[in-house]
Parts: sequence; C-alpha cells; structure tokens
Amino acid sequence: MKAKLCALFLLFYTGITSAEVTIEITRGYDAAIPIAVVPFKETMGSAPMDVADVVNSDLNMSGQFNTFDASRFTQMPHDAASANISYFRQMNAENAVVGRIMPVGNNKFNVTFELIDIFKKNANSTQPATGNPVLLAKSFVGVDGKDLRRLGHHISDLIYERLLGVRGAFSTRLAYISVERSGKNASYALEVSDIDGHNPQKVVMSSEPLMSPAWSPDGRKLAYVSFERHRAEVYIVEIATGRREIITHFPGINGAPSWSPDGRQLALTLSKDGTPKIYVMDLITRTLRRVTEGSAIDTEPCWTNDGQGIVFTSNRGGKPQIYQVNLASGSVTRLTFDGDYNARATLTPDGRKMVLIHLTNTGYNIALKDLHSDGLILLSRSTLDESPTISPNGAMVLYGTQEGTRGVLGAVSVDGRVRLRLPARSGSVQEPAWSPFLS
Amino acid sequence: MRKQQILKTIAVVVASAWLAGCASTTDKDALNDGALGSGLDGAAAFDGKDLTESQKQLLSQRVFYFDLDSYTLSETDAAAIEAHAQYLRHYPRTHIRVEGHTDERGSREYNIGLGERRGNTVANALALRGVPRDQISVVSFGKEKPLALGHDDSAWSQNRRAVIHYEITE
Repeated sequence: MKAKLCALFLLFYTGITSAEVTIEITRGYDAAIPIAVVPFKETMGSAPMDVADVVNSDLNMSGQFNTFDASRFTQMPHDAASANISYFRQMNAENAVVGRIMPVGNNKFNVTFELIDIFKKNANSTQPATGNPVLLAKSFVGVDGKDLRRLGHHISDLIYERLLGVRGAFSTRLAYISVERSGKNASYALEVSDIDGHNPQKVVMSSEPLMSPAWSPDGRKLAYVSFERHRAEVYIVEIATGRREIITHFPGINGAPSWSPDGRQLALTLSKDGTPKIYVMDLITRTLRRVTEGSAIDTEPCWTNDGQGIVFTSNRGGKPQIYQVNLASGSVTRLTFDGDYNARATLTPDGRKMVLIHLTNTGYNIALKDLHSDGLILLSRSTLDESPTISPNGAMVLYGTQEGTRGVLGAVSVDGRVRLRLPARSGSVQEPAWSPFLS
Repeated sequence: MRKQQILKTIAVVVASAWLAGCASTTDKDALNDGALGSGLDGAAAFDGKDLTESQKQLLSQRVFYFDLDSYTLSETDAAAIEAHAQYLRHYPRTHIRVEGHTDERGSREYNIGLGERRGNTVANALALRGVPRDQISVVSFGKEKPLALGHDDSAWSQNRRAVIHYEITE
C-alpha cells in the first residue's frame, strides 16, 4: 500500500485547476496489477499536458492497479520496440504503457501509445521484431490540446478493459450537490465534473437546498429537486445549455426523481394525495400515474433494468425497508430483512445486486445485497454514510459521508477490497451521482 | 391554572383582533418583518400595541421540537399552538408555511418524508383548532437545513423541529 501524490478525484477545488492532492488507498488490493506508465512528456513539445499523467492517475484511482511515480523512471522508452524489458521486470511491473505526443501545429497533436505485457503472460498479443509483446497499440491523429485530458481517460478505459475484461469508467462524469455555509446562510449548487474531479461546472445555483441529482440514460440531462421557491419542485436541466424545465410542483413533496432505463419515464415521490407515494410520469405525454398505495412513506424509487419494476424505500412495515413493485400488476415484494433501517437502494448495472444505506449498531453504512440471497455485506465503515451511487461498469461505489462537519465523498469497490478516502475541499459535497457511459 | 391562562389569552386575542382590524397595514408590515424569519427572533413580529405580553410571548414561539422518531407535539406546546390558531382564525387572509425538519441521520429523501410528518403534526393541530387548511402549507426540508451542525444528541435534538413561517398576505 503506497501513499501517492496524484490528481485522484481532484476534488472539486473550484477555480483551482491543478491541485495536487494526496490520497490514501486505505485498504489495498493484493491482486492489484503493477503497471508502469512511462511519461510521454519528453516528446510532448508544446502540448499543455502529459497524457500519461492522466492515465497513471486513473489506473491508480481504480484501486485495481499499483502505479509508479513518474519520478521513478530512469529509462523512458516511447515505443515498445525500444523498451528494455528487463528494466521493467526489475521494477516488478507486469505491464508497461509507453507513448508519444507529437505537436502538428495549430495546438493539435498526434498521440500514440502501446500497452506492453512485461511477462508475456497473455497469449493474445502481437509480436514485433524485438519480441516485445504488445497487447494494445493505438494512434490518435489531430487531437486538440484541450482534448488531451479526455484522450487520457479514453486510453485508461482501453487499458482497463484490455487487462481486466471490464469496460473502463474513466470517461464518465459525476454530478453532486455542493454547499457553502456562512453563518445561518448557505448557497447550494448542482455541479458536474469529470470523474476525477477536474472541470467542475456549476449547472444550477440556489440559495435554497438542491437535492437528488439523477442522470438521464443519455447522459445529457439531470433531474433534481429544488427548494428555490420555498417548496419542493422537480426540474430537469440540460447540462450543456443550462436550459431547464419544471416537471412537477404539486403541493407537498416532489422528490426523488429516477429515470427509466429507456429515458422516457420518470419515477418520483409525490405526497399530493396525502402521504408520499411513488408515481411514474411519461415524459412525452406528461401523464402521471401512481404506482404504490397505502398510508406509509414510499420514496426513493429506482427502476429495475428491464423497466418492469421499481425498487423503493417504504416504512409500511413500521421501519424503512426496501421493497419492489411490479409495474404491470402492482404487486409489492419486500427485499430486505436485516436490521431496522434499509433505505435508498440502487441496483447494480447487471441488475443482480443493490447498494443501499443500512443501519448497524455503529451507524449508517453502505451495504451490498444480492437480490437472490439472504444477508448483506457492509462496504463502508463510518457512522453517517449515505447516497451511494455505482459506476456504470459496476466496479465502484461513491457515497456521501462526513469529515468533521463537512460533507465529503468516499469510494469503495463493489467487492469491498479497495477503499479510498477522498480529501475534503472547502465547503461540503454531497449526493454524488455517477453518470452512465457517455459517448 | 393553564386553562385560565388560555381563556385569558383568548379574551385578549379576541379583543386585540377587534382593535387590530383597524390597523391592517401596520399588522401586515409587522408580520412581514418578523414572520419571514426563522421563527427564532422572538416577539418582533407582533408589534401591535393590542397584544399583551403573554400573547406576544406565545405567538413568538415559532419552533416546535420533537423527540427522536416522534411526530407528536409536546404538551408544553399546546398554549403556543392555541395562540397561533386564534391569530390565524382572526386573520383569514394570513397564510403560514410550516416547515418540517429532521436530524441528519439516514437517507435524505426518506427524511423528507419524515419531516413532512412533523410539519403535518403542527398543521393538523392548528386545523383541529379551527384554522382552515388552506391557510396552511407544509414544506419538508428533511435534513437539508440543519440549525446545528454537530454529530451528537445536542445537535440532533435542535434539528428535529417544525417551524411556523408567516407569509406575506395579500
């Protein structure tokens, strides 16, 4: 386990574009792959940044790789053919990434990289003349200087998928609520950033609370709750333009928006009929129908992958537990039976498990429950954990937690093996929402 | 003794309602000044000469606290609730917004549901005392607007509350 200086989750330091932040992987993964990402920088000329820095940070932050400080390298090959394999072997690297950035004028660059198998474990690799096994080799032509960071994330995705067999989520984005308090006042913002915290952008700002950001399946819009008019209302905002429209503003609660997998419907919580119930709105026709009944609090809807059901929190049994309603028949099944408080369930992308908030005798933690077996596994360890969100490749969970009196984000891998502590920024961050894969 | 106090209060309110009716602009301004605050600003809102000290005292209580997992008002709040009910019955164009809050523990949207129950408790208590329901709206902030930021019983008990806000009347 190494403490590393990297741009991991570059936390939301609005206005500060390159804060170096120390992160600690608090619980390392023994089977993490050691990978040597060799700086491209000697070749980069006038390029504004080294793509290899982004790749190194990304792979490190996934917890699935052990990376090396750029300063460690006394040899810096830029292609597989000139790479000295025994140098990397003595570092105990299993893989190496080498590449170049070549300015071609007009702030544009050609970028190439190769992923090398140091121990030739992989049978499926091309063999150049020198016998270095190359697992991946790609070139990108005419990349704009401002897109180099995004290219770095794309290269990370390619490497991650090639070595782990799982699609990388480095090109995804994060939405979250930021809160700055001074005295009795607070200012709230709904922000979107790259998954590593770079490029934060305030999409909505308010002097009253904002809550529950939810990504549309196409990644272009966010539904959210706003109290700007001193009452709860659900809005949808188009991220690129900031254009927004109000979706519901009934008396009482308007909350917990959740998009159907096809993006055509929105589930939400309304208490207009007396108590909070789950409703589904068709976003084209704007027709609304109620899908749960009774006098309990039903809220926090989350669609199943097939769009046929909705998982939700309800205290119809006395205390909050997770239930599922079948939209066609209206029948409701209880899903959680452990303990007295289970809430805010989100299904994993494969639809087989859910992460939720579970109360133990030490506090509120994030837990993972398989939908088809008993028992649940605790993923987080502090006392006030909340708002879990899952990466679209199902590998990682981000959640809200407290550091002092500030909201900060925590991250834990779904298999529980890797836990990341994310540094605090000024103000509070809460309610993270992980975007879908973005094209 | 409490019943006597309540009766006396009612008498005072009725009397002052009579007199205050003639000074509607002043009342509205007074209501606006204090009423749009958090409810903790004391007696500033009800500035009329017509109100007695005890009346002002009762009406100045805008915040009602709740025990953990509880959605019922304490007995000690009855007099204040009664005072608000009397005032609202006598000023039918006055509208209040009751805001319900929870402590920080647990899920945000579920806490929105719990906060609404606290707001409804106050709204229902007023309705039971004859205030027309359309003079009252209930908004739940769940755990989104804590008064105290700590992670202990002291902070939590300050945050479990319902707050009456008097809104600008037409």
